[in-house]
Amino acid sequence: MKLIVVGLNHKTAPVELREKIGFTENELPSVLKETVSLAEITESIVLSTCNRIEFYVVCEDEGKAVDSITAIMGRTGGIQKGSLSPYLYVHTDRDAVTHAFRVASSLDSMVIGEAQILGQAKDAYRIASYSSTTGPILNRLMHRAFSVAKKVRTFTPIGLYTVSVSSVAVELAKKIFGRLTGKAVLLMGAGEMAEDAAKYLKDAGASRLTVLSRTFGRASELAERLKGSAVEFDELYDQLMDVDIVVCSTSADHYLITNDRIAKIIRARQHRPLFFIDISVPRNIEPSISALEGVFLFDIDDLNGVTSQNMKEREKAANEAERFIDEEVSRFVNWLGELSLVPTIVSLREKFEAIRQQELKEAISKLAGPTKKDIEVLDGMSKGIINKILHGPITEIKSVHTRGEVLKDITLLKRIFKI
Amino acid sequence: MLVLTIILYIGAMTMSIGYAFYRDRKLEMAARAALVLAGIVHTGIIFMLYRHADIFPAFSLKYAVFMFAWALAVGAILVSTIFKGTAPIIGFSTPLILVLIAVSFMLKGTARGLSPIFNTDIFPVHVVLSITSYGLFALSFISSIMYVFQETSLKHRRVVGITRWLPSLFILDDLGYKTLTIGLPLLTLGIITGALWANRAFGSYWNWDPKETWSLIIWLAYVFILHGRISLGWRGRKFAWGSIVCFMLVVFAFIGVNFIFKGYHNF
Repeated sequence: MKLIVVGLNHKTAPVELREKIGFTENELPSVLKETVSLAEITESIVLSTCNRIEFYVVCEDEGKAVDSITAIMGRTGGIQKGSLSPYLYVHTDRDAVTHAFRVASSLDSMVIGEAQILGQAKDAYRIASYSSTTGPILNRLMHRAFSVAKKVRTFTPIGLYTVSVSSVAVELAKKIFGRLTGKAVLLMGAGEMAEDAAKYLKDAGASRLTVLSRTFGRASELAERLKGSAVEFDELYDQLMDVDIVVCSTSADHYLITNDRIAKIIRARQHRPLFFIDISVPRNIEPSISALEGVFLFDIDDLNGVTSQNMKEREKAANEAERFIDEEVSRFVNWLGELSLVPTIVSLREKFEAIRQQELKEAISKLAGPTKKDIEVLDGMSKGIINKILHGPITEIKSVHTRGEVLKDITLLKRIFKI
Repeated sequence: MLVLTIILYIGAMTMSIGYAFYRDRKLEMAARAALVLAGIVHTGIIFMLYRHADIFPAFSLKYAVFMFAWALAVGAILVSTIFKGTAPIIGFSTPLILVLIAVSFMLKGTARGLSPIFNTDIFPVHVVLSITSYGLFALSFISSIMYVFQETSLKHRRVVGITRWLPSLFILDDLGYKTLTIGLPLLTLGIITGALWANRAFGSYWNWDPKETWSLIIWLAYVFILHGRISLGWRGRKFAWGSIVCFMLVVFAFIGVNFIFKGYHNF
């Protein structure tokens, strides 16, 4: 039994690849069920955000599990298996736990310390547990990860830095418009990140807020929360005449805002500047519009690029957080060890007992008319030998687990005794 | 004193640009202080010239260019004090100020023996109006250059030190526009007072002297881009380039014309 993470993220794979592979919330349950239907995988959680696609699984055969997961990802993105592997990373056991904790605590995020990833991880866990693909190990892993993340946020200054995709968007808007007072914002799509960006822009002074979503209900719900107004999706191009800032977080598979239309609009606007923030993956705004006069466009990778500069400060706080995580990882790995220790000891004893029974039977059959007393003596002696032999290793393993090395020892034990 | 001014301008330039790389607010404050001091010394020099020459010290191109540099310095001080976040204009205007001082230094100036035709009441008014308008055009030119820098950096979708250092596009565009809306009327008045003076000196308002022709060209060029902005929406990049090109014409009309054409303008 092994805990592994297979995935790719913003550090290992470009946005073009991530947007191909990314799973929507609706696709997740079937993907999760497919993984646990495989013989080698017993538990599974899939975390799919615009910055990472990761499979957290408990498996018997690591090699096989990695192969099947790679195949699933490749199939979704329409990519050949071989060409995907350079972008993938695989973490096992202790490293996998560390990775999970670091991801939840936002230490592995592009914007270190950004708060969204925790919510996304919670969503991923919720979907997996509704799909009944989690088990004792992943349940515990996730609960520990969430509590570590909370600890990191409370006890390190990582959350004090306001740097996030949204605050970078505000910073850029200020570089274009000066003060944002009185500026009008259009939200395309009613996602969490769009809402976050809208709040930041509003705090910076933006006044008029319009939400536009394919589902009018969601749009008006969000508009109410942000004290803005909601409009139907058809009004997109009318809205673009009036607004200054557009935050796009829709999840269409094609460009919703195209160069041709914007070229006309910007002329009709007399080149009054229009600032687009495209946080959709795949991108929903045609990148070439940024060449148009008065049009400014930043996509999710651009914003991430900006924030990576601000990260130095956060990295200091992150170092502190790593220490928290180290402690928690050791604790979890111990538990994981204990969990697999008991079954290992049981099967070790069973194996020895089977050998003893067989040898005892053979010995008795070789004796001419053994008395009840003889059999008792032989039985007692063989039991004694086995107990004395096993006593050392078992005590050693039980004491070793306090050092957090137990998983390695169990693996060794299983190998040399072939259990 | 001239050396002191130059050193102060260089100091202001270095510290202002340095602020783009070492984000220490003290550098920016020091740059502003150096610029203000340089401006004061610069003013002192002009006063001394005035007392020495006994007439308005812009009677030759040499001193007119020196006055131009001074007008730009005063403009940069005012802008960076009035408009929040525009201190980087110090780093962009000081090189031009230094170039103008250098040009002035290289030109030959007649300090005395001036023709009495210059000694009228209207002549200093004409000079002050013209030079102030040139100073405003220079400010517009500088904000436009900054606009082009800032826009390019934002279009490249990257935020580098210079992006954070430079003020917002809105302020730069606004500054480039507002300086022109003041500069153009002043130039108009400058041309009118020039014509009045010409009438008194030569008995005719307009003589198609090369300088006169070129100032008319400049005037038309600025009217053209302002009209484009107001009625056709030429803002942002287009307007910035317009202002940059127009200022090239100003520089040519102010300095270049003198070397190519001969006219009764000594400058």
